[in-house]
Amino acid sequence: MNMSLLRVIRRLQSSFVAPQRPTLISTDAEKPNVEGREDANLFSLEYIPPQVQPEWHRNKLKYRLERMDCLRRRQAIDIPEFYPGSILAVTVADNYAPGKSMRFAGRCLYKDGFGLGCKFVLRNVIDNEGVEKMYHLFAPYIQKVELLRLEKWIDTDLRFLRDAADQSICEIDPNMQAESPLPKTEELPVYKGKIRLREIAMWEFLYHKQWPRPYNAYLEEHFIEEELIEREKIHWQTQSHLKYDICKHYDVTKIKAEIMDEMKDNRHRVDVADKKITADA
Amino acid sequence: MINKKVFRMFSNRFYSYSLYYVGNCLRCQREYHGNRSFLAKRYRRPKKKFLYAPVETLHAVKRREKEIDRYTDKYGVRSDKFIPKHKLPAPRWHWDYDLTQDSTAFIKSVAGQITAEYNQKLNSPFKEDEWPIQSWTPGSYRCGAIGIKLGVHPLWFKDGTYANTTLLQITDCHVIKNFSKEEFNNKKAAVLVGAKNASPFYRTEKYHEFCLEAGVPIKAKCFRFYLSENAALRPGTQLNAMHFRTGQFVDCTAMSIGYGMAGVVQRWHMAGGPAGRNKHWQRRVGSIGSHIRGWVQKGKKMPGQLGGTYETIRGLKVLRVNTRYNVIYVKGRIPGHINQFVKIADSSLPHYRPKTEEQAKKLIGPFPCYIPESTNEDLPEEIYDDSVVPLHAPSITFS
Repeated sequence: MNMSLLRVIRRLQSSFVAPQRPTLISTDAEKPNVEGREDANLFSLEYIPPQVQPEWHRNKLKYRLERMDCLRRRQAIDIPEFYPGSILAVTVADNYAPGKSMRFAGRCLYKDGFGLGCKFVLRNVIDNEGVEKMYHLFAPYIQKVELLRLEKWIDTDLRFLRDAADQSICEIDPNMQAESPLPKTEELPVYKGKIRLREIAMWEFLYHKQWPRPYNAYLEEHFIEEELIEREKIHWQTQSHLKYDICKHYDVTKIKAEIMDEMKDNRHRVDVADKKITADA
Repeated sequence: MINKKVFRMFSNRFYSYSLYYVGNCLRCQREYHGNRSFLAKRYRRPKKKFLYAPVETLHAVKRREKEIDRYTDKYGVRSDKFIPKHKLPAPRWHWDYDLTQDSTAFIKSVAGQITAEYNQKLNSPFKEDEWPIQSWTPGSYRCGAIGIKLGVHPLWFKDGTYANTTLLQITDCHVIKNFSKEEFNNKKAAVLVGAKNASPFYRTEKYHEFCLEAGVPIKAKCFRFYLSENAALRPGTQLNAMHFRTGQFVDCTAMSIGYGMAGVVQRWHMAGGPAGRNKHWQRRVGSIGSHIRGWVQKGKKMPGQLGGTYETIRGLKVLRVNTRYNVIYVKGRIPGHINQFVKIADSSLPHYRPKTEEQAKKLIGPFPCYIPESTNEDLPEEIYDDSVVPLHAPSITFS
């Protein structure tokens, strides 16, 4: 008799049931955050110090003190994670406004600066009139920051939206309902759509001469690729080498690990320092 | 002999010359609008008469100060003090290249032990009867301190506005020497303060003795402060960030960023010539004077040294003090790079100087300096001014 047939018959006759394979999927609460979406108390992009040259013109103590102050502000109010492109609503204390506070909703154009000097800009189109407002992220005059829609675009500087042909991208209803953002355990989809610009004569900046060139702007409508390369050669002969400059591609991974270690200690330091103040006052 | 016709021809011009010479000379002093600190001082000082023959130190021989010819500074003054760095012999200690790394490490470890001993010797400043604490009287000046500039960041006020503040860290600030009125000037008393412990190497033996007489490790930087005599401090007293009080006003002097020899466009923000079409006049001065006036006016703005000078900024408010890291937050900006020494003193502006004792408790810090032993209670780590919003506090709401 064939051996293989025998095996099959035995298997059918036996009462053995194969156990299920153990699953390694853990629960959502135990899941760590996705890389790039860490807890803001531990790491955020504004904690990376500026690369001042030469190196002896930097001071590490100042950077640490400033990060501690950022942590203090984050404990005082909830600042959600957001990126240029996502929609926010900010309420601000204003002495001359009715009700002594102002609420402004808009799309974030860019975020810039280190530590307490971190700023972000919101843009909204109200009655066919573009309005932009700049806020310090850690200023105590900010009362509330609401995240209406979480989006992430490829570009970090969306100032080309001022020259968009269809302004409805930045036209945001102030009474818009907040959408629940993706949990931090999942990776954010990056918006790769292209946005049409107006005629070149109406542009505020010459975006085709920038480096890196904005990805989300639909520049190909106005130029063909060879033309763009030619323009770069003509106008940016001195700075076109930036594309190949390795130093400009600034590797943050080492600094990030250092900051994460430091911020764990900083929380303890801040607690110790502030408790004493409250006891006296 | 001048012909009558010829005299008549030029008579107008002669007349005008004499008028301009006389009138302009007087006017010259009045019309001067330039920066007075950049005025050239070209008078020759009388040579010092040495009553005794100075003994040459070892370092003077090594630097060949006798043989070396003397260099000028920016004003054209020749002195021994002005030696460009590249003219000095490169390794200043022979054991820089003669000794091995192990032996230099051994020497440094020994030096570390010695500095630790000196630190142990430091006693509290007012134990002895020679330096009693005196109370504040109107018209008395207090000693200042030396800080290191860390950087700039904003702080917010309770009315919603913000201001940029510079961070000044006060590290290892000790009094080194005290000069009484008669010793110093017959006018004012003075005190020497040093900051930031440094290695004893690469410094002269004279400087070593100078610091160690006070029982203090060797300092990287010294500054001199004027004092009134009732504020005299014993050499060896430590100065803290608590030396300054929040809400008081402060003068800061620091070396500004040096740009070296700079042109007239960068130095005085002149317009220069048009950018194109011309060859000779781009980024240059225009006219220096007229042919009638036979000289260049004093204080004319011209190319020269830009920056690298000590500059003071007066009346800066202290907004916040960190007692743990000894950092002072001062409203406004201070010239100079980051990691640079800054001389901090109570402001000399008459508006910010205390006149009564009640004002003295607000406008200046503890007199003559902060003594840590007298107050045993625990200090708060962060002290804010009343106008500033503490960063841990909830955000502002107007009512």
